[in-house]
Amino acid sequence: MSFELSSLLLGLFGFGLCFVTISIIRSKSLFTSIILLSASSLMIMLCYLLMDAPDVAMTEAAIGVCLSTSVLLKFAKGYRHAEEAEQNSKLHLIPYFILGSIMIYAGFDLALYGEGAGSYISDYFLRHTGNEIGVPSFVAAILASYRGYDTLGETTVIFTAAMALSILLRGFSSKLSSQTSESISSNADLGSISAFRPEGVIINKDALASALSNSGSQISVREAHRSGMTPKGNIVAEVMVKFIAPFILFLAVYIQICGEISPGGGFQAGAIFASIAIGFYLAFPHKVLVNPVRVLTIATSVGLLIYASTGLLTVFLGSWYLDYYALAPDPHFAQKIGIFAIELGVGITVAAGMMLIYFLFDREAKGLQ
Amino acid sequence: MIFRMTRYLKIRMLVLISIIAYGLIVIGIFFITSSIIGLFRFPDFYTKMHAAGVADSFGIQLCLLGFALMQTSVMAAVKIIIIMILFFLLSPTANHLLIAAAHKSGLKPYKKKNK
Amino acid sequence: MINIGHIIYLVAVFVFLGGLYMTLSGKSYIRKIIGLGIFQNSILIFYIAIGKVRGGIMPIDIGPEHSYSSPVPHVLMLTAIVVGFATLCVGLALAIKIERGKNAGS
Repeated sequence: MSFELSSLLLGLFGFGLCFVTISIIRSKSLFTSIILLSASSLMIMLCYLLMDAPDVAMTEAAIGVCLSTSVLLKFAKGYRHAEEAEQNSKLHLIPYFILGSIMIYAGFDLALYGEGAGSYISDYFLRHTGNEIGVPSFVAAILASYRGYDTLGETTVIFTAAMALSILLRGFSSKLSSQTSESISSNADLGSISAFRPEGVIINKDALASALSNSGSQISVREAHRSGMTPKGNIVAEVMVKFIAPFILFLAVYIQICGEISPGGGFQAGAIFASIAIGFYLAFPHKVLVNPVRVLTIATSVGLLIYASTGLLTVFLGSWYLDYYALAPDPHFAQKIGIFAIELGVGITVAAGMMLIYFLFDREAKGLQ
Repeated sequence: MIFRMTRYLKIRMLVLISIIAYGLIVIGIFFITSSIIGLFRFPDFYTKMHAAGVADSFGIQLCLLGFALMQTSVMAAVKIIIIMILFFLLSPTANHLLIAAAHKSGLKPYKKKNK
Repeated sequence: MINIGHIIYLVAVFVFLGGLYMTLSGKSYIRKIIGLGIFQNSILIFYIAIGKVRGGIMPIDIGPEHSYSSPVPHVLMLTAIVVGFATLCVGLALAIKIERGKNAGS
C-alpha cells in the first residue's frame, strides 16, 4: 500500500477513533461504554495494520477486542449500580486544553510522520539480526532474544495478575471446591438484591423444583426456564462452538510455532487459546464445568517456570542468564531452540492466566460467594 | 500456430476471470452499501440486525470470492477461500446470538403505530 | 511539509486527553478503569506511529534491499498491551471487592 493511501486511511480511522472516544465519554450506561471501548480497540487495530505492525494488531485484536470486552461484560453483569452522566461545568475542561496545547507545541519537535524516529537502534537490529540470530521476524528476535529479560518480566506480570485475582476473588477457598449442586441451589436466593446478584446457578430440575418450593413461589420449572431465571443454552452457540473449537486450537498452535517466521508468538497464541475456553463458558452456561482453578494455577506457574528455567539452563551450561548461544554448537540453531522454549513458556502462561481470569469473573457474575 | 492459439485462449480466459472477479466485487459492495443504508433506515433493533447481517454474511463473501479470483498464486486464493468459509459459518452465528440475547432480555419488536 | 499522516499525532493527543478526563472525573470506579484503558491505547498509537518509515514494509526479513519499519516500538507496545489487560483485570477485581465491602458494611 502506498504511503499516501495508507496515511489517508489512517487519518480516516483516526477521526473515527476520536468520534468513538467522545461517544464513550458521553455515554450514560456502562454497557454502551464497554461496547464502544471494543469498537475503539477495533479501529486502533486497523490503525496498527496501516502502520506496518501486524504483531501488535494481532495482539490488540485478541486481547483488546475480544478478551477485555468479555471480561468487562462479565464484570458488568453483576454490577447493578445506576450510571449517571457527569454533570460538570465547562470550567473543568480548561486544564485539559492547556495540557493539550502544551503537548501539541512540544510535538512540533517530533520527527515527521514516516521518518522513523529512533532509527539508530532499529538500524542496529535490522542489520545484525540476520547474522547473530538468523530468525526472519525482527519482532520475535528482539522480543525473545535481544530483550528476553523484559519479556520475562512481562510474563511475571501476567502470572502475578492471575494470582492476585485468585486471591482477591476467592479462588483458593476449599469450601467452594467441595460444594455440591444441592447446596448451591439452596444458597441461591431467587430475588435477593445485593450489589452482585446471583444469576441463577441451579443445574438440575429436581434441585430447581425443590428450591422453588422452598422459596414459596408458585411458578413451575418450565416457567422459570422461560422467564430467564435459570441459564439456558442456545443450540446454535453449542453447535458452532463445538464445531469451530478444533480449528481455533489449530490456529493457536500454528501462531505459537510459526512466531519466528511470521507475525505471531506466545502472546497472541495464548490469547487465542484462551478464547476457546471463553467460548465454551459462554455457550454452555447451564453445565457445571469442573473447577479448573487448581489446574490453571499449576499451568500458569509451569509456563513461567519453563521460561525461567531456560535461563537457568544456560547458566548451568557455563554462560550468563538467558544466553542462548550456550544451548547448542550452531549459533542460529541455538537461538531457535531458545526462542522456541521461551515462547512456549509465554504461550502457556498467557493462555492459562487468561482462562483463570475469565473463569474467576464468570464465577463472580454467577454469584458464588 | 497452435501455441499462438492456446496463448490467445489463455489471455481471453484471464480477461474473463478478471471481469467475473470485478463483477463479484461490485455486487458485494452493492450488498454492503444496502446493508449500511438499512442500518440507518430501519426503525428497530431486530430489523437493524437483519440489515447488518446481510453485509457480514453475504456481502463480504462475494467480495472475498472476487479477491480470490484476482490472486496470482493458488495458495493465496485457497487462504482467501478458507477465510470466506469461516465468515460464512461464524457471522450468522454471531448475528443469531445477538438477536437471541435481545429476545431473552425482553426487547419488544417494533409495532407500527396507526394514527 | 505537512502530510495527512500527522493527524495521527493529533488523534493520539485527543484520545490521551479523553482518557485522562474519564479517569480523573469519572463518577464510579468502572468509568475510571475504562478511562485508563483508553489512555493506554493512545500511548500505544503514538509510539507505533513514530516508528513507521515511509516506503517501509512490515518488519519480517525478506531481503536486505527492502526498507523496514522500525521493529523496536512494536516489541515495547506488545508488552504494553498485555500488561494493560492484566492491570485492567486486577482493577476490576478491586472494584468488585470495594463494592462488596461497601454493601456488607452498610
